Amino acid sequence: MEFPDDLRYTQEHEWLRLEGNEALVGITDFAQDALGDVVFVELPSIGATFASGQAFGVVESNKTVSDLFAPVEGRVTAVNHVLRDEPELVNNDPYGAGWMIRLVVTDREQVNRLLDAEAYRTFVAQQRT
Amino acid sequence: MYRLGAERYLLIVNAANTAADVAWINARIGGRAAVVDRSAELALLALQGPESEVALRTLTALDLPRLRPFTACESRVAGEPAVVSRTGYTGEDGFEIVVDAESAGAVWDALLEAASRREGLPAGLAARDTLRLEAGLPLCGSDMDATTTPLEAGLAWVVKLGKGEFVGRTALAAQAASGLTRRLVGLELREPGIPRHGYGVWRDGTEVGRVTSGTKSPTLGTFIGLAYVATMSAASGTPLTVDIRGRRVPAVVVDRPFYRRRR
Repeated sequence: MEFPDDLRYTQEHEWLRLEGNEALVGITDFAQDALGDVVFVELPSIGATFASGQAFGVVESNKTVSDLFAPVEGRVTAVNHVLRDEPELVNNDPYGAGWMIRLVVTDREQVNRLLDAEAYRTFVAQQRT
Repeated sequence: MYRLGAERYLLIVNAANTAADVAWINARIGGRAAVVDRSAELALLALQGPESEVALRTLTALDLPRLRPFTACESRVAGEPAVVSRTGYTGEDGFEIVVDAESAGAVWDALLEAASRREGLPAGLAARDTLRLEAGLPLCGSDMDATTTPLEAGLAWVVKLGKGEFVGRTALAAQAASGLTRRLVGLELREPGIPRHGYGVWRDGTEVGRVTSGTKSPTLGTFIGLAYVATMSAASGTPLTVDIRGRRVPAVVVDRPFYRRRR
């Protein structure tokens, strides 16, 4: 299972990739594996703002429905519309084509407080035991 | 239910309902028969799919082409005593094989090896559930429970009202005479989303029913479900909506099965 070093992570299994003052957000390899085949992703409108930890959408697999949580506070500048027709991208390429939203980050300090890859790996290992 | 002899039967019940089913039978049996819960001693393996007969042929001396659908035979599979029946809950041709729990591992291995030569794969309950839903088959505990009747579930063919007395006959005869107020129907969603057990089904601002099962159909790629809806809204083609966590998703009543196997 892959957890790229250039990403930040949450304990709810979202990842965040900082690009300037914006960030891409998706769910981790661990999350997609636990969900099984993703069949539907409900994403917010562009312009919507979310507090850190607030639910911004829903990911649904045959097995279960799960809320998506904003890793940091921010305003949505883009959503991955491709997921509407190809939700399986979340399974096939969770850190690439399976991205979910792009946010303008309000407070960079919140990003620094997220887990780094090493800490997330440790967290996931604990989840499995 | 298998009839293994003149007065000997084997019931395969929903695993989650075993204790309740045994208690129900015992409460009504009145000393006319004996019931033994052998769940812990037996294992049920299902070999399902168009190639299942060819795969199973290598493991049993049974004359499989002559084993008709919904019939069963006591024989051996992979050398182990087994009850083999031509049935299943996938909508496909296939077999259910009852063996002693101790031999289940060996029979599983033999079945898997035989099946893998015909592109067979192990499948768990979630996979099986998508198949039975595509086939439009209602599941006990999900689509049927103590509050539903076989007539509402579209299972009139298994309750012959004219065959003499049975538990519930009076109630079913009365329901048949007065007409059904709700029916189990197939729903196909017009937008992505899975209709899950308990979600409301609406028509023009009125709740007309409840979803009992749903999935994304792997074979069809569509979002399907079963729901009890008021008879007035149960006709094929009726436009409805399903309340998926506050989102009203358009759906339409469709004929079951959703998918019919090629023969």
